[in-house]
Amino acid sequence: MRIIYSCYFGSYLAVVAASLHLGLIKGFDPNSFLELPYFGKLPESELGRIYYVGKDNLGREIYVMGSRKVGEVIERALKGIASIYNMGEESLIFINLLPYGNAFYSIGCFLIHRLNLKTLGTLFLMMGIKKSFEKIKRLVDKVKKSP
Amino acid sequence: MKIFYCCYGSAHSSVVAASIHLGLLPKDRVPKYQEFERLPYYDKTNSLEIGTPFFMGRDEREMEVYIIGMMNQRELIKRAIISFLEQSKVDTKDIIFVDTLPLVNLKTKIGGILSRRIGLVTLGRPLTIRGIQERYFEFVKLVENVKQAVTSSVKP
Repeated sequence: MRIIYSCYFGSYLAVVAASLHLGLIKGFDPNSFLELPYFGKLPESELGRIYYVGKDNLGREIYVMGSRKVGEVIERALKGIASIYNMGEESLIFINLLPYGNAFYSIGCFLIHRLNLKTLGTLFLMMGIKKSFEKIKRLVDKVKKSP
Repeated sequence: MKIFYCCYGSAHSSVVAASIHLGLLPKDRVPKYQEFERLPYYDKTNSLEIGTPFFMGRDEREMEVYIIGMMNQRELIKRAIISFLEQSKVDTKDIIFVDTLPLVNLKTKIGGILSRRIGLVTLGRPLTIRGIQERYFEFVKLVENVKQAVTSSVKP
């Protein structure tokens, strides 16, 4: 069983959610986020690639991926591919975190990726993540409990 | 071996290319309106199905032919599929993606928007077919190139 957490760039909300899932972080702490594997580090030229983060306590493999705005298309494509290769559609859970973004988050991404203003961008980004953090945590808890 | 013909919404150009590949459409003449209309999936895929790969058939060499819609993110989605298969320890050498969108002209594009996005099938469908008829032999050439490339790659 594989679980893919995805967001626009794959390296912010997806990494936070995957890290919550694996217990690498417990609460909102910007400094610890910056230390997370892949946080802010996935190259834009490789969007779409899935990156392995770790195994959860049920042996499920956790991945992150950047899917721009086509998360749903990718979900259908990967589930279709899984069934073509007889892995079973249910072998894959795809969680699209794009709806968990907000204005602060988007401004942060814009500043970092388009204007190359890392410090200021990260500030906005963290405010954005803070606003959505509890919602993301609830989502991850639900995913963790799902069979 | 698996071949995926990819376009925007897996409703027009990928269906035509896959159909030529499988012999559902002729190679020596431009097919008539009805011949397109009766193809499986032609101008039928809805937007909630974009991304799902559809099986079109097996060719004379037992290669599986699929169509898939990737919207305007073909590179991203191809990368997703390949990396997903690599993580699953599946050999990706026997997969070929063929992009058919570059063969789509303005008529087919507008027809596609009218029929698939706005739902004006009676207006859009004939336009998509007219557009493809205009460039039909380029589709034939694309498919022939694909078949040739595949043959030379599987030669012992």
